Amino acid sequence: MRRSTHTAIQAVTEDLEGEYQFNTAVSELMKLSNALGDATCKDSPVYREGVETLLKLLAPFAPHIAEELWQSLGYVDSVHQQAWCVLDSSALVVDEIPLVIQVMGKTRGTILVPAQLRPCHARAACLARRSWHNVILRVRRSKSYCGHWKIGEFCDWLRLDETAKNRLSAHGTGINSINGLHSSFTDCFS
Amino acid sequence: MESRYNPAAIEEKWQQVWTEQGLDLAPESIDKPKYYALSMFPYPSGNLHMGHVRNYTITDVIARHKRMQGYRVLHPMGWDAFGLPAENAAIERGIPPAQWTHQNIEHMRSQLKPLGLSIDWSREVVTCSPDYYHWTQWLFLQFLQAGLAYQKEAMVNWDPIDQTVLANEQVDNQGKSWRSGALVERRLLRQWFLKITDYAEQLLNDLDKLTGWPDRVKLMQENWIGKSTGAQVIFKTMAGDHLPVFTTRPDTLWGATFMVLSPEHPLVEKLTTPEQAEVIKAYQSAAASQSEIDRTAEDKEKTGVWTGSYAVNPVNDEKIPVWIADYVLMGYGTGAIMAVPAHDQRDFEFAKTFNLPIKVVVQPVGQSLDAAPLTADALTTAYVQEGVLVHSGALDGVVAGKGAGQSVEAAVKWLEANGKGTGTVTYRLRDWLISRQRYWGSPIPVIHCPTCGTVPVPDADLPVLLPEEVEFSGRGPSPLSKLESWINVPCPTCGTPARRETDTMDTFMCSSWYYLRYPDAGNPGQAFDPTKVNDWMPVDQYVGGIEHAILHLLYSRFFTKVLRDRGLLKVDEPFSRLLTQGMVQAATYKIRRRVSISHLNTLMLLIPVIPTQVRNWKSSTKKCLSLSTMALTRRMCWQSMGQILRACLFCSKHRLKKIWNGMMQM
Repeated sequence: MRRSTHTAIQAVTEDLEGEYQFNTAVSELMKLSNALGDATCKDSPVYREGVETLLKLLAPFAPHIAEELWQSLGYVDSVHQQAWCVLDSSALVVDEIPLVIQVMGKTRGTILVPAQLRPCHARAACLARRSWHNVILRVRRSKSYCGHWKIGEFCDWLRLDETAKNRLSAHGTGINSINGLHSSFTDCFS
Repeated sequence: MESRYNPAAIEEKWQQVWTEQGLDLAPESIDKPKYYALSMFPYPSGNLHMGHVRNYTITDVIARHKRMQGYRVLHPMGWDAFGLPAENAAIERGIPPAQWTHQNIEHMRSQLKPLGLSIDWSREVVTCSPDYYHWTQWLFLQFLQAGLAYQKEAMVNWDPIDQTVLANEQVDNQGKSWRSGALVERRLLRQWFLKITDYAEQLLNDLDKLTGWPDRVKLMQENWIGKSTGAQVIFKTMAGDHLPVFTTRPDTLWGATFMVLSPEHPLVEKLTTPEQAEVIKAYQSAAASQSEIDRTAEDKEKTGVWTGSYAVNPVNDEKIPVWIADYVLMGYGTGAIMAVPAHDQRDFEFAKTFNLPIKVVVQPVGQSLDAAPLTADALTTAYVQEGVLVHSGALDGVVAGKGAGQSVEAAVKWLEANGKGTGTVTYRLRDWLISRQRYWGSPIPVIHCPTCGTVPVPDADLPVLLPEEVEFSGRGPSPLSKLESWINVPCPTCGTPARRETDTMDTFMCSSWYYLRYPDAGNPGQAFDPTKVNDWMPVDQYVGGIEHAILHLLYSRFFTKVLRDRGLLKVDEPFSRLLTQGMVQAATYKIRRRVSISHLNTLMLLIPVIPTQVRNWKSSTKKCLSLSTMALTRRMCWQSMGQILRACLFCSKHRLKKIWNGMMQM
């Protein structure tokens, strides 16, 4: 939840400076609004922070509705007199990130891997070949491919230790279904 | 609080509260960094349209964001209120221009306010009110004192429909008036000009300082200023008359094989041999009946006539024939050109048409000069690519080009050393024609005295008020020039009977300094207090249409520089950052007419935001609509917009509703 809040702060602030990407700012607000809707912790301070952030970020775009909702939170001062939200970059740290699994060019599913193993948001696409040892993983960061890895190199990149590597290789041998892939990954990373 | 999202109820309520609390006022004394957010002010045509809403909303979002970031923000609004449409309304419907304009302002202000833009309305300026044009007149006198305003007889663009003179910028690339669409004629009239050309070099160089401007706009200004370096070279006729030419490629002089004069060139008569006299006369009268645009069109078939005479090429003493052709204009350069057919496409076509000699003086790099040289016969088009000079005397082997140490520089040096010519810099930019033979503009504050000449109206007598008892016929000269009681005044210097200037100023004069009035809008004794203006200037973010890339933005930069040099301003440039929003265009943009908000026949192109619509859509919805659907710099086309308008509207309202409902479930 806190991550959604601060991701929105970062994105909207960036969109309001530099190139003025107001259209993407508005969709960032929708993302935060949806995240608040899905949240389960509705009486926590984190949720309250999220709601107040949404209204403050909304204020330049839709000043009236932001004000009305702001005052309904119990404030007397105008939302337009509030200080702009401050980004806490530690809140942006991601604990798990999704790996997209592709088999023969088709997306078969997504698995979550621990984020501390990964330097940034990235997508790994697996092109299944005959055996696990020959699986080539295509890892990409944003739009450009960083490179092609054999499974061993991929493990090195994920900074897996020898044991995990062996386990992954052992599990991988002969696997050719998405379920098998999934379980071998989750097994290794759990 | 209602649980249903009801924009009508909350918007009016909060606008009232914000006004009472003064949230939109720009504070001056508090210790915060300043931020000046400015929208290009509207012409009060009568109705707001979506282009306005989009423009002002963008600026509003920026202003609100900056306030929350801890800046004191100046976000003002005003009206660019002089101009032809008001006068046309007076002619067509008999409504006085002032009344028409003020009614429109009232109406548009009442449309604008419900949008809930955080505008400091206490600083509103209206360029047609005497307390504003007082200072436009005063600023004109500043230019006059600085020697930057002058009168000259000039060939001007005459709009036969609006019966007025147009600036070059108001004539489109087809030679038609930007407003009436009529084919523009040429006439000679005594006119007022501002010497913007004195600032050409600064206006060009300082474009580099404008890091917050779109490259496209800077390029447009650069091209408009159109600096070219080259040389003035004196050719001599066989009779010994001087025929100066300006060329940007003096390095190709050795390849000049003929000369072309404009049919209007004063030496044509002297140069014409008796045998050629008849065809030359006929050609001259044919050229006179054509417009400049037709004469210089690139795809036009080349025509021309030989005068029967020769001139001498000063660099190699070769005898070359002198022709006349309509594509050479008298008003441009010296009215004469040297023709280098091997390396200039237009000259090449001319030479091919009339079977004139072609001489190659630039060879492709890397080719030996003797082996397989480029030959004139082999050319199918002019050779304009890179290369080295050949058959060019002392310059043989020099790399062709305009860079340091390359052929153009070397040629200028050689010409100067040998007394055959001089290096020159020319600009495409012309002085700014500011006088209009119209009523609805700021009177030019000078008096013409038979003994003292042109006398400025003393500061104490400013403003020269526009008389109100005026008749508008729509025919003939300006209504002011028929008003004897207003025209006849004693000379302020010697007291003898004198006459007022009856021309009024181009409205671009009013809009060239309005951003300097907002910081000190109510000042009755000064155009602005320099302390206040220097506090707020420069404008940190300027938002407006790309259609002002040249005219308004260049003039404003010029004004700023002149006022800086007069000690009234400290900034070099008025606008730090510029956002040119995409134009909201009608599908009929294909006819290449700007969406002129004043034109009756273009009204259908606009979606007027009438008050009931404002009430129905409500401003938040509309603001999100104009922001969310497209990137800001993209053009919006109403043809497709019309179709998706409802969908967008729903989408945007839906988004807000969703946020509202989400909150209600808390």
